[in-house]
Amino acid sequence: MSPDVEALRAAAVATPLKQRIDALDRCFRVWQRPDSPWLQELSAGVELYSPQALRFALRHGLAEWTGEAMHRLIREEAHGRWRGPSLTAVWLGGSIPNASFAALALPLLVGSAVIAKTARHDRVSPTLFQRSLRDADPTLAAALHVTDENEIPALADAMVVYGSDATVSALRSRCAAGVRFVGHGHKLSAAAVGPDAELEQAAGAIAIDLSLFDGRGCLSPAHIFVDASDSKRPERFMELLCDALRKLAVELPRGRLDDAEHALLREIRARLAAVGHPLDISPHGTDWAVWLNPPAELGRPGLLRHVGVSPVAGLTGLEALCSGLAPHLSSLAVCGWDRQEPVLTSIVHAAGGSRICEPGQLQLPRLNWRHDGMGAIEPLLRSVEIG
Amino acid sequence: MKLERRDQIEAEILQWISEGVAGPPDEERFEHLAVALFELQFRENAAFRSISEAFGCSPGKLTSWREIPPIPTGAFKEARLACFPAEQTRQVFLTSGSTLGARGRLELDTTELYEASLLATLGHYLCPDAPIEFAVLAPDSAQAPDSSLSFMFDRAARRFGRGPGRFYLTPEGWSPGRVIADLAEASDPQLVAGTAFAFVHLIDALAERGQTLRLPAGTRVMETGGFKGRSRELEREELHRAIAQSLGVPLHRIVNQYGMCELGSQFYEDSLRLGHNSNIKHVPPWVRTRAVSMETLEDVEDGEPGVLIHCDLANTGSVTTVQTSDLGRIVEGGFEILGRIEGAEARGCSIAADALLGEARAR
Repeated sequence: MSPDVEALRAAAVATPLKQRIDALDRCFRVWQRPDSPWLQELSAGVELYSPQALRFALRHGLAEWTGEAMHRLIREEAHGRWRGPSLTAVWLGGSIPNASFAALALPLLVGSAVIAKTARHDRVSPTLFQRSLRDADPTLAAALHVTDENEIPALADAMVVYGSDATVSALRSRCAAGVRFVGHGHKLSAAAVGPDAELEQAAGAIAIDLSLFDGRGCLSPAHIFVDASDSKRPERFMELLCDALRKLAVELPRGRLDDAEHALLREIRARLAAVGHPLDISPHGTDWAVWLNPPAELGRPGLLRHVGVSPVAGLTGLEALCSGLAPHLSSLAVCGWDRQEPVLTSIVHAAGGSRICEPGQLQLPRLNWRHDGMGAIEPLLRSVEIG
Repeated sequence: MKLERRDQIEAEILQWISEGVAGPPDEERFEHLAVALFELQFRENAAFRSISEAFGCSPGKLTSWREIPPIPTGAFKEARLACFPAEQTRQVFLTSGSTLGARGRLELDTTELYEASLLATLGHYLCPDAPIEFAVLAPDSAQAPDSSLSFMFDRAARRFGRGPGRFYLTPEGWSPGRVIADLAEASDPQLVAGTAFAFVHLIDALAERGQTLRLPAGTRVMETGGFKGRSRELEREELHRAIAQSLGVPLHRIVNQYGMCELGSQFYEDSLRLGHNSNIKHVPPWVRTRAVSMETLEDVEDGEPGVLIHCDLANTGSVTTVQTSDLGRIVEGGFEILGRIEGAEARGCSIAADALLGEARAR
């Protein structure tokens, strides 16, 4: 059913900034509660992720969405006399509920009505978000329309796209002139463990990064680089990572896989084992696997808790490997590279990344993260300068 | 008696094959030979041993052939899965190319078992009334020495053919006109054999000429393999109807064969012998086919879809148990093919960066 664009716009206009922030704050607080009915419904409707992992990801991932943080974001990014788009078309991608929530909430925050097209692999979470927002504030919720239809709303004056590079490019070319376009294409993330890192702590935290959303997201570490100044450290790290993944297989179990995914993982394992790669795998099923020196031709690294550990020769080695990820790096989790922030920043910058964080935080970006180097809301805003 | 030496095991399997495909499945005999082969392959095949050890499987721990680690076909691209030194290799079969580049590789130091198995099944299901003329829409084995399909047609034509067989594909391509002319003039029953995509080309060529054939009574057609990406795609039933119409062959005399480069044995429908259509693939007594859950590798219920795993005793020099990418279900008398599990679909927003990393290493 086609949405009533005028009604959506009217609802957005009718909700002042403070009301919008309060509504989003209330909405996200409910999502974070262990007994949240929305969380329960999401767990029942989404098979890709286990209920335990979803609970963890939403509790920690949405903790940033406080009223105070939203006010701060507005202060930081909205300057002068600003206004948001009257209608933003949001083209969702992937299957990460946290990312979908942020994608819907940010244009609402700046006073825009939103028509959101769901991603093929996550029809559930945007709809649930809308219903939860209706509970928190029916007026603001009336500014949001969620649809499965692959059509760009004709009257949108902004479009935000999450998806493959091809999708972003195709939609950019279909956008009318004058429409503000923000595209987030394919990205990946990585973790880098330095010579000063406490290995057990690093392994435990990176295991969480690997386990949340089972490697399906662009903030999931596809590669783990471990400084090999001491040649035994990569192997030791691998052992500790396996221990941590073993524990998390129980505490934050993986979601449901289809036959093709299980088959892919079994093939990766067999191919690695066949050529004698150092490999440690979960004793049952395909829960997790870690190997040293990942061969380049293995597809989908980091996916579904199957990951390689690459020894690197200091920052020079790290730079060489990260440069190979350019321009697709999103975030780099780092630890144990004491007093090396300028070099690390340069490495991330060169690889196309926009974020450095501690291990364990890869999947939990801050609200004001400048995603792909752009502000969270700034690209949507139009300001008028006087004088 | 415990079998340890490969020649002892092979002698037993050859004996079994010589008893024909209509014999009883004999679970005890299969178990005995499969476990003996596992122990031999674990001992002699380094890559298989590595995989088995990684998966926690070793001769002391194995209690049934069902526990033999199935080797995904992709592993044949990665490592040499053979029980003998490379210099003893006499025959190499390669899987057909893919966009990924690497091709799977099966090495044989002897083709005795391979031939015995393929002849036993092909003879039973396609040539019960041999000799017959072979018209093959594929290159001969001299032109395609690494094609298991050409090898099979070549050996089958030698055994069951009236003459060496006519092979219509050459490295330069083929001339449909020649095939059509030869078939139009044929007065004796033919075995027209080829891949699905070759038949699509033949049908198209006939259609372009506005021609249909009426092949001699007793003719049968063997169609095998997929054709995705190679020519226009047709559903198998549609393809068979088109073959029947174009060549003038009754539907029940068109037999689909299911085989793969990595296996010594093949699977046939029994429609020619039954006199009516059947899409059940029959499993020879020296092979076991399971439909499993990829999560647990345990059998799904009969009739339920699962990924097919074959344990083939004719694979003495490589590995017996191969995990396919085919979805199927076990039914009375054999199994049915339901489709392919294609590459895992990306259900997230991460990118495959393996190639990028490879480039970085190369710099």
